[in-house]
Amino acid sequence: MDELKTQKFGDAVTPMGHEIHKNLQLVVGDLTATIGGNPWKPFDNRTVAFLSDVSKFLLIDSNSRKLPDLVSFAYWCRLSNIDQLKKKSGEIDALIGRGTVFHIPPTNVPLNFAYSLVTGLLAGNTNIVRVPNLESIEVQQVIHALKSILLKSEHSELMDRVCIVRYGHIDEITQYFSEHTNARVIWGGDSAVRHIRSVPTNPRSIDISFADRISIALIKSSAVNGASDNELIKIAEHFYVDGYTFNQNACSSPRLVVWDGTEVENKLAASLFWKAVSRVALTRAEVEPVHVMNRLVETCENLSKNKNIKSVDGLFEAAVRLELIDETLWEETSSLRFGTFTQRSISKIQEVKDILNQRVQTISYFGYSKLEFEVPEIKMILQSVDRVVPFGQALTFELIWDGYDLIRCLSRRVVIR
Amino acid sequence: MEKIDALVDTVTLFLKREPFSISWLEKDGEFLNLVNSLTEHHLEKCQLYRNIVRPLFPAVENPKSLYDVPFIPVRLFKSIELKSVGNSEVFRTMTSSGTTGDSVSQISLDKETSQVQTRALSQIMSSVIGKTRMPMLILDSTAVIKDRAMFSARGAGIRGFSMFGKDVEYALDESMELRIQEIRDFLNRHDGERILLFGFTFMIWQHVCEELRIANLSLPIHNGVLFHGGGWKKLASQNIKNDSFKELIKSTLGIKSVINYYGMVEQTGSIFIECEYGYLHSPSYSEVIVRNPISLLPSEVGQEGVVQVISVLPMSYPGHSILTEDLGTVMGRDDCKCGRTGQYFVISGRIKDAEVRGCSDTYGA
Repeated sequence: MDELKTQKFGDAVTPMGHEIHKNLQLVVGDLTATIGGNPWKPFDNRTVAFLSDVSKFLLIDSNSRKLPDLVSFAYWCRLSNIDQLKKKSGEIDALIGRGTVFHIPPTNVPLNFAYSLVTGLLAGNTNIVRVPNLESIEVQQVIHALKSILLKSEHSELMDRVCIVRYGHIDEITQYFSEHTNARVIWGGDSAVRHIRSVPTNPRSIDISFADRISIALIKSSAVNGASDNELIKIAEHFYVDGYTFNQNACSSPRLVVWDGTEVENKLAASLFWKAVSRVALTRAEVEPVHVMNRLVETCENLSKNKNIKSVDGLFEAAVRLELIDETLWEETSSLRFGTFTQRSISKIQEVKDILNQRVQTISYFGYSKLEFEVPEIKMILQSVDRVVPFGQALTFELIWDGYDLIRCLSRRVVIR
Repeated sequence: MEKIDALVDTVTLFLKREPFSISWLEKDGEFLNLVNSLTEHHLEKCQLYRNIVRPLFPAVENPKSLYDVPFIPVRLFKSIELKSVGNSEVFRTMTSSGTTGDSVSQISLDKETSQVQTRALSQIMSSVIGKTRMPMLILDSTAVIKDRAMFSARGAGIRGFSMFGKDVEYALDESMELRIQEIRDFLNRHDGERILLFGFTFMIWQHVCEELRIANLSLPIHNGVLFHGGGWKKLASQNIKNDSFKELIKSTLGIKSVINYYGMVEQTGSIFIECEYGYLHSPSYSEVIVRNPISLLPSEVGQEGVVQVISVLPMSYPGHSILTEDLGTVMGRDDCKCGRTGQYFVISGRIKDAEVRGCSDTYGA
């Protein structure tokens, strides 16, 4: 067995074996320099200036502007937003980056790698990112922007902090990075997390892993019933962003819609709401024929094996709703994607307790004021989830994610008495 | 048992009708009734079909219009074993050729369904080429049918169409090379006769036309009638469309009569045949409905959409009404210049594959 050795700053990096070298594609940056790089303070001015220029680069580029995910990312990196994030992060003076962070993003949310990288940078680290998918235009654009800005002389100090690599499922490479970094950020699902965590790290390294989660939408029916036609469309548009982005395939995408009100209110609200959602979803260019086909195929597959589905609504409305015989078993109806939802009625918000469990990550809500969630009884109930956010923000990436305060997790606090 | 016999009799009787004799409006009559009987039959005999269709189409009983006939997506035959007969009655299991995807469709045929498929195809074919058998050249390899265990769509197509020819010869050997000498001998044997040819569009293009072109050869099959089908997906990337394909056939094989057909292993037999004006026609035994690819509601004439195919033949498996992933456009009804009654349409391709995105498969990369 190899001698256990903690990487210290300035240590020479163990050279990689030939096998690893052969199978590793360096997309951006310098591996050795990145592994040996110095930690900075969170929100270091140099990092913020770099991100600001990346943001500008993307927003000026006309190709990028056509891609909504990319525009969102560019806005996220803007100076004003980073300032906001810094303010929300509270007291950070005693913090310093952990060193080098190894990021393992998921395959299919193309820009997840970019958010993960930026988080690592903001926490003060140098970063190795395994990019899963170079074919995506969004990914290519971000890499192009990073490369271009890194070449500018004023950002030369960032050169050693961003290293993007690509490789297949080769545990030797994962192990090499795991042993030479100070933290791993492992994005799900469960089997991927399990596998990567079975690959040894250096003893001081920490893991931040994101397991499979599910999310729900919570709607106060009376608020929907009181909405004007225009307001209804607005509500539906926000819900569309939450429920349809990434083909409803993200952990934060709502799959269960909970109606809060009397039986009569809930019924009316559901009919108004789905009509509006259908109007929005049927006209969006992002909804492609293959998604509609996948939705139909997966609905049929669900029906063939799940006896708990009573009926299916909305086959022709771009929003499929599965009515369950036993609503408490909603989680068993798995893999709801491409605009497929289950529903449940409650008569008061306290009853949401029966629905929540440790797997629920995000509640996106409509019709409530934040104050309603601060009532101690309600607050207690909501504490089982990680995020409670208004409609339209379910998928908005935040530095506090899955309950982790990422800036604090990816940095160290130095105590000087 | 009696009920199924009655259904078999009704279908068999229906196939006595002329293959292009039912107008679009008349399709909502006897044709629809027969389709409704099939839906009822499959709901009764296939539990998985029932589990799927009852909740999906709550108003499933006796639709008054073809538009309201329940449908299931064609891809389902790849993931679920759907059949309406017991295992002992399955006479053969057909599979899609599986050249592009990793999973293949599994279609369970009993004797009766297989027989009506043959009958329907022969009705349609004889209306186009007459009842006399012609010498036949298959533009494919002998290997495809040698393996009797493999009832792939390709083998089934070849076997099915071979029935309409005599002195059947194969143009390709087992390694897909042209058998030039055998072809020449065959043509000499039948000098002056009409020749029937059959093959799959892409195979013909790649292994016959391209090979002849490279060898700078052409064959003088001026009396030939070529039937071809099997999709344009691979040829689309070469930018080859129906017209240019016809030109190519004419220049390499000398054949002027080139007839495309549209069919699939899930609905063998009741194929759609191209007319002299380049349109595919619904025969009496099947129909297409074009649906908006997003809302899945029926499209207007002239609007492109996804193609639903309805056939009266599938009795042993619930494939009488399926939503394909093909794109097509209904061009008109009952008024094609060729004189055939019924709907006529074109197929323009497949729906575009798109990446499925999500956040739960790091290791799937």
